Amino acid sequence: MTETCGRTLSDNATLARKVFSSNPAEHEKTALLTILSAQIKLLYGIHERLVFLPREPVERETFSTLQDLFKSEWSEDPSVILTTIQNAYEYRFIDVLRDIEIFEEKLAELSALLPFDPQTSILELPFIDRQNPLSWPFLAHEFGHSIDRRKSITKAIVDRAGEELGLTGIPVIASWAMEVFADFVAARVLGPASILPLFSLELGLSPIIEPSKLNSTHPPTPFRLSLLREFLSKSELSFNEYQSFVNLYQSDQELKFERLGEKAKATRETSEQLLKYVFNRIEPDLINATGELKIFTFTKDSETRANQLKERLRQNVPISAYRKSSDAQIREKLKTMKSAPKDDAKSIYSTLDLLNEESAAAGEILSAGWLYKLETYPDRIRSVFESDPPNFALYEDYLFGIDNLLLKSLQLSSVHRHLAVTLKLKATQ
Amino acid sequence: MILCESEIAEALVSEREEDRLVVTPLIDPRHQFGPASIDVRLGTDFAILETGKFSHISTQETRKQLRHQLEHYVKKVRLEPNEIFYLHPGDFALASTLEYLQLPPSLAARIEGRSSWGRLGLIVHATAGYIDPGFSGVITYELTNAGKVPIGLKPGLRIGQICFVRMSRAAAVPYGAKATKKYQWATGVQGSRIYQDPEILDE
Repeated sequence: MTETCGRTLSDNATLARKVFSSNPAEHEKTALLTILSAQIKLLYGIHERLVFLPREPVERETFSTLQDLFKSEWSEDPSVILTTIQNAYEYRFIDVLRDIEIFEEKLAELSALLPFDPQTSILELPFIDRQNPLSWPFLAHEFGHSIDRRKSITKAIVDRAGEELGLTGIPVIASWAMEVFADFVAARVLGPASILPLFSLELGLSPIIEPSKLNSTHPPTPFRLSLLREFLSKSELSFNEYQSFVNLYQSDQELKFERLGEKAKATRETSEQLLKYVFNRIEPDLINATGELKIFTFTKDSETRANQLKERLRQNVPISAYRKSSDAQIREKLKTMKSAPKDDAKSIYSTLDLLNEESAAAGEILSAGWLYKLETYPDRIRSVFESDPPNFALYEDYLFGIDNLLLKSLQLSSVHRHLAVTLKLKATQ
Repeated sequence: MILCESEIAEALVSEREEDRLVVTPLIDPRHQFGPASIDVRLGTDFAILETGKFSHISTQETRKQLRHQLEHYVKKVRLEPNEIFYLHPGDFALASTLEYLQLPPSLAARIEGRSSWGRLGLIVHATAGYIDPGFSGVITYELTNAGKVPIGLKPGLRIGQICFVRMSRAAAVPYGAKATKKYQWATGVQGSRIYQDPEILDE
């Protein structure tokens, strides 16, 4: 597959080189997008056929990441499995049984026989993202659905608002509210990076030549983005750090909208009016409900830390931990120590204490990964086409390098947290 | 010249990026620093040798065959932070440091065992304790239990120590820049890549 994709792209290297390095004409951009679109379709087609291969488990880091993000909420211990479909899902095993007619009447008996609680959530992650932590924010969104279902959060909010607004029993509103709540939950634990995998997926799944359709289960992503902006602004967070990618996504959406037929445009506009009307009423309740959860909160400090960690990624070093003291402070302390008459134990120990590292939160590590990737990928793509034939191995190494360092960072931070608790306990005993 | 504790600290915060030493995560430096070394911990990854699967390691094999053989020789195991790995008397296993190291071109290093573990019979490297300047990655432990009773090991234990040696001149071709590097950027335990040596037959 890599060979086929590589050959197609190599055959069109002159075009790609022009698009990446100079001011391409509109038709050249469209031509390249068409070629890329064909490759993406091929890739997804093959991905779906992975169903015939033995199913590997997800990485352990997936669990430690979700555990760190969701703290005590994660205690229901959901399963995370891989799927061949290029999307993430959340469901309960009991719902699957319910859908199978012959099991429907014997649910209680069947449930008692199962070696696990059928009410427990199952989260699905695409095979392709098994070792790609930058896509794991999808799972945070999906687990938001699980929390919602367990606590009947959006149902209560939508029922209440429906009566007030005279809009009861409209399934699309309930469904859209569930999605927005799950977005808020993911943003609470991951900040703005929570929605970036969705932009990436949508840019890849439906390139510019195929206008996206209105979805009855999910509100249009640009609308979700506007709600997320409001949600994040309450914590003084914004998409500023990711502006170029957000701009890319938005301009793609605008072009797609332009290409919609008049009828589809009218439907989209009416739905957005309904959305605005409903969400004006329910958004504050959804935000409050998200705030009440006992989960990790991505704050302004987390954003600062993610930026510091991003700089360490540049040095090809895992970013599982950070120092509270700056290098300059430690250098100063070491200088003072040198100028003192002799190195006494007290001063060396207090200097060593400054070198102590704290474990970074999984949300900060993933955000740092996104910041790093968005800042570096355009140059890396350009460098592929600097040689003739193009050197795709460079980009492959770059992507594997990021995945590897992020996986290692998530693994180390989980061990670090565990050790820090043990060492702290020892120190207080 | 072997670096003392304050010189190691200086290298960790060096203003010049090309001279900077990286050892991360440093979870408890007060206990990890010795007078001229840093204690390093055990990571979560182990590789067990599946000796029952073939008769011997033959350097007469071709590169491809030897690679195949060696890759099937090791079975990787990953522990949870509170899980125990029992190393039985006479057993050999690969593991790695929890810490990720990045050595500047002007520093070489050596990994050694810690005395308290040595007294229990734990050996942390078979023969390769030397770390080249310019190396980046986790360090592989070549663990052997030379004692009489099994030793329970868990991630995070400080079983090794690294001392750093300042070279009289920075290496012209640090490990990371070598065309023949085998273990650069390792983030987990890695088995032998002896098959990459030029002495092994191509065909």
